[in-house]
Amino acid sequence: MVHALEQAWQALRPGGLLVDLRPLSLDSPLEVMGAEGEQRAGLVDMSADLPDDRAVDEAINAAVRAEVFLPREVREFGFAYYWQTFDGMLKYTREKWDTAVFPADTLTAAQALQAQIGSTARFRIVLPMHLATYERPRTR
Amino acid sequence: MREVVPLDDARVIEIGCGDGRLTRKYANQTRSALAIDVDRLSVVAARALLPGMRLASRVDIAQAAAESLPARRESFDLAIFAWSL
Repeated sequence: MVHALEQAWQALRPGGLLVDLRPLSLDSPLEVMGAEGEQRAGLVDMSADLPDDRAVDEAINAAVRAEVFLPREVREFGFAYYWQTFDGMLKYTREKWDTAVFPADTLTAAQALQAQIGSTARFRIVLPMHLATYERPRTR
Repeated sequence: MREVVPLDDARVIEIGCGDGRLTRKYANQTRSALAIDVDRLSVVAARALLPGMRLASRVDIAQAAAESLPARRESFDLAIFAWSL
């Protein structure tokens, strides 16, 4: 990762921006949506990726301390994934989010909400996102 | 991302583009975009989904690792890591 930052620094012109966009490894709500709005089924455990998050933060912080990159803006926002079916959600997350853990009580609650809402039930997980920009210094 | 990142007329390198889902969202604002991914199947998928010649003419998608970018020094305004750092 440090090598990747070095390569990005070399590729950028002085004054160019590095953009770091990624989900944060925080527990994220699974919601079931119906005509009357959304209801929370529980949380999805995303903490398995915390060590990776911290490693990225450390690498970037080291680059900032060395003034290789200058911090510019930071934004945090939610990024929502939607699924039409419970099985579709499980299939997608098993394929794409292999470190996410769905607690049994969250899944049970989601299925109960689905049964309550009926065929219009939809599923949503909102991931907390981190967007930060860093400038390659103009003089170095 | 558009609120924070000056994409207009920018020369962009996206490192770890996956199937190009994000690339397709921003590329038409840029002067040029080089999207790379180390995974061959992702690169194939990204190339297959490039919509239209206008976008395709300004986007290049290549298989490469972040540690060995196929790029000239100081040739980009933006380096984007999305879900890839």
